[in-house]
Amino acid sequence: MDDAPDGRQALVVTVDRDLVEAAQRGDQSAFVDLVRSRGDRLFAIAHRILRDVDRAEDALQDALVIAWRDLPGLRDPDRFDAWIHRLLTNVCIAQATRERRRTANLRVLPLDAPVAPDDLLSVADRDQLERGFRRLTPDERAVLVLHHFIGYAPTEIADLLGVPAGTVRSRLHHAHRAMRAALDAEARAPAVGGSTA
Amino acid sequence: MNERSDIDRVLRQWFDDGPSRMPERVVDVVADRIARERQRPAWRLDWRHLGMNTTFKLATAVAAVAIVAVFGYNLLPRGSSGIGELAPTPSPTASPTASPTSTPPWDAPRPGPCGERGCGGPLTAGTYTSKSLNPAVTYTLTADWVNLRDWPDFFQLYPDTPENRMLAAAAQYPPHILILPATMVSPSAACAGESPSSDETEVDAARFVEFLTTRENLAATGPVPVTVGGLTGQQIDASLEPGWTGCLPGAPLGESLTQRDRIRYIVLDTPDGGSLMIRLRAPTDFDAFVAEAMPIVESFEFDLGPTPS
Repeated sequence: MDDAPDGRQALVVTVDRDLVEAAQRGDQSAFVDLVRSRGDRLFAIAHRILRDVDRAEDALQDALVIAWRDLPGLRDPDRFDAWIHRLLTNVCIAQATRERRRTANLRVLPLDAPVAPDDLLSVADRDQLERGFRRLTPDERAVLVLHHFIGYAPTEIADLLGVPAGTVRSRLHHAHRAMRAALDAEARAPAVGGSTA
Repeated sequence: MNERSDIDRVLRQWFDDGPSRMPERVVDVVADRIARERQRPAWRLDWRHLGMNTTFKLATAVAAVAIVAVFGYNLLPRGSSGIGELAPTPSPTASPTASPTSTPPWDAPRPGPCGERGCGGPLTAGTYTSKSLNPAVTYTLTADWVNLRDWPDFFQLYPDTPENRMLAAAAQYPPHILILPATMVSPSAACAGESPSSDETEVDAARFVEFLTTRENLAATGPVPVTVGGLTGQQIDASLEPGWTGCLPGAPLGESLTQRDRIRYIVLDTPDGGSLMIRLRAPTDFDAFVAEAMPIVESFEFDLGPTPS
């Protein structure tokens, strides 16, 4: 039996645990190593929730500084990833909530979303998804990202966010319905001849 | 393909297409910011975080119900089993506060979990030494107490009564003795729930007294010189000025005091130039609690290692 994969996995876990524990003791370079190893993933999560590179960057910075500050309180270093996902998600939700209040009366403008060349989603689909997503509450956005992008199950999201699993399922259900409606609206748009706002 | 799997697939692809590289400057900015940001000691986060976990909430609710049930049972008339080693709390009720029984009838509901960082749990009369606190402390109990936390930087004892167990299970403050191996103060605002200030500094007993007595909205009694376990220091009692309802900016430990709180601080200077703090806090019956707790404080002996030459 080839035990190399398990051995490597164990090594990675040990190294990460060592880094987390060192950072908990105040080792800044260990924390920076953790940031480097997790940064891409965390930035991607923030961007998916906030839909803006600059705001995602701000949210990530804030979440990482809070993580550094509160890290000594993390009781199980092996739970670091789930813990920092929760921190980041909460920062993003707070920022999205503020942003939502600020822009409540603004029209949603067309977006310059990046388009993959061999894409099954059309530009119009993406535009509608973007519009539909921005109409969701920050909590619904977060649940959608954690479920579809990270792959957390509803019960895991419930643990992460500290809400009942039923609430997570309800948010998912509503978000799915809203996103589907956004796509359907795009499909109907030529027939009614209107543009969305 | 059904509607559900279709939207799942669409969303997955849509999310996968976005940017996935963290800008390198984030690392630089974060490294710079954490260099100026102090970490919060674990004990400061403890009470606040106790209530966040769903499982813990459920366990707390169950524990609270059990304690109420047992407490109710305890109020039923029956013969006294007290052996009276301590002066009783001057309570006119049948409350078993500070009842110094060695095997209390309400022992069934255990205090909350120690967590992964350790505690001594329920203790009967006797002499004990902490396991994790640095420096270790040896102390003598003449009644039942609970050692709620025995961490390297946080040590806590409270009288083992049903009410106190209920408060602890609900993540509230029972009257307690706390030992912190360093005395930190923060001149800027640091109310509970706010971002911690970054100007915390460790002070000795004299500077702590100076800090405390110059706080606005704080009424202080003392200071008086004390000696505990061969260490000298200062003792000072504090409470909020009457009528002040806000938090106390700059309060030691960044905690919010309430109008009913009274706290006794005992700051002892250590041979290495640092200090350690003993704190007595009780939401009610402060004087009775102090009378009960001070003999324990006076029994403290700290293992500070060899005296530097």
